[in-house]
Amino acid sequence: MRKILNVFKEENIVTGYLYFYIHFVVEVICFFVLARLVGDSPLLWFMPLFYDALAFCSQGVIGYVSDRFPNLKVGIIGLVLLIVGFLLFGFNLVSSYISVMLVGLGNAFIHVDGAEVTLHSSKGKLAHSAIFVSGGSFGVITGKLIGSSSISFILITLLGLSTIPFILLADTYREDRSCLEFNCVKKDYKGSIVIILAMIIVAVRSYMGYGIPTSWNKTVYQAIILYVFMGLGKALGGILADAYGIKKVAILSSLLALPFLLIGDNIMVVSLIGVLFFSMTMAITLSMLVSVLKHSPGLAFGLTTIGLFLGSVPVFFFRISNFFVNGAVIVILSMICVVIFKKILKDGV
Amino acid sequence: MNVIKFVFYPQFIKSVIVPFIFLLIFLLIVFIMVYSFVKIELSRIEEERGVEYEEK
Repeated sequence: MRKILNVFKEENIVTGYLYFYIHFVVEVICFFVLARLVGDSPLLWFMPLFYDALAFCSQGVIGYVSDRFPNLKVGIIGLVLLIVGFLLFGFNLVSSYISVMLVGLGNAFIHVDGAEVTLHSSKGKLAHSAIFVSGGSFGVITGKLIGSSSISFILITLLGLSTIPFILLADTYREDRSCLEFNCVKKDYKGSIVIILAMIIVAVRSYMGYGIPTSWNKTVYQAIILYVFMGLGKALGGILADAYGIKKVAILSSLLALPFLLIGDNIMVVSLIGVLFFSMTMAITLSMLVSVLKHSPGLAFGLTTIGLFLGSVPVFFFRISNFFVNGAVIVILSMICVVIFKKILKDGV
Repeated sequence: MNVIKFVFYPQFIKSVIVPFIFLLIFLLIVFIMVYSFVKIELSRIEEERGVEYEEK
């Protein structure tokens, strides 16, 4: 327990908290737009795909540019795009595709800035970026809920503007531009192999995330609890990895998630424990990529989001509805992830 | 399921065809760019490793 508490005393951990809030607000805005646009219409499934592609895949390019030009205020650029896209959407001035494009790109810029700030200030620790990433889950469900309510978009705009001091403050921690201190992968493997395997894990986890059996999730309250546990899991993954070691947490969380996810289809508490474990690998795959691309944390983060997108694409076209087939797929994919973690991650990290 | 919807609603195809083509071109460009960035970074790391090895 003391080890876990010590994580909260790590140097510059405040960047994680700052970007937790920024990430939360950004996702609220994005999912507010999506919820208002899509509503309950089954025909508008293309819009989330369009948004995901723009927001997730562009982060690789933006990340690399941000790595090469460290003085570029990526966070502020992102916020401007986000607010402009949101206002255009709110006043219904342009096609909804253009608004979604601006909002998605703004989201991508801000994500890259969050990754850069938290990775550069963490001195090889994972908690900072894990806390930053976890803010998204809380934002997604909040955005979905208020998007389907009658709340004015002007209030959401003000919420978006409230992130300015947080972005500026977080930027002051962006000092160290040297090679990052992440070093969790074995040197026996070529960098390209590690990148491909880490992206496979991210894509597999992303695909599985949509296939988790949650028949219990029927009310708004249950949906909120589910997203809260996803967010907590993401943050805990980084915190526990710093306290007890990356390899231990990666393998144990992947294995422990399985029984809870499969048995918990109709039992909320059991399923939530599974979701908590399942979400823990998020920061670990990022650290694997940063261990290879030490000079380019932005690009490394972008690769994880591309993996997330690739994993989510099949879900837009088909879903496995049979519980047993779905369960078998989850078990097989989880075991593949465990084997990759075991082979690639260094012992004792 | 969604694929079936896509096929049976011609007016829906009309409304998404332009953004869909834009999306495909965008993804193609992004993937090529990211692939080349990763290649550049990996060769840079390999060079550094080579220098480290020679110094040892």
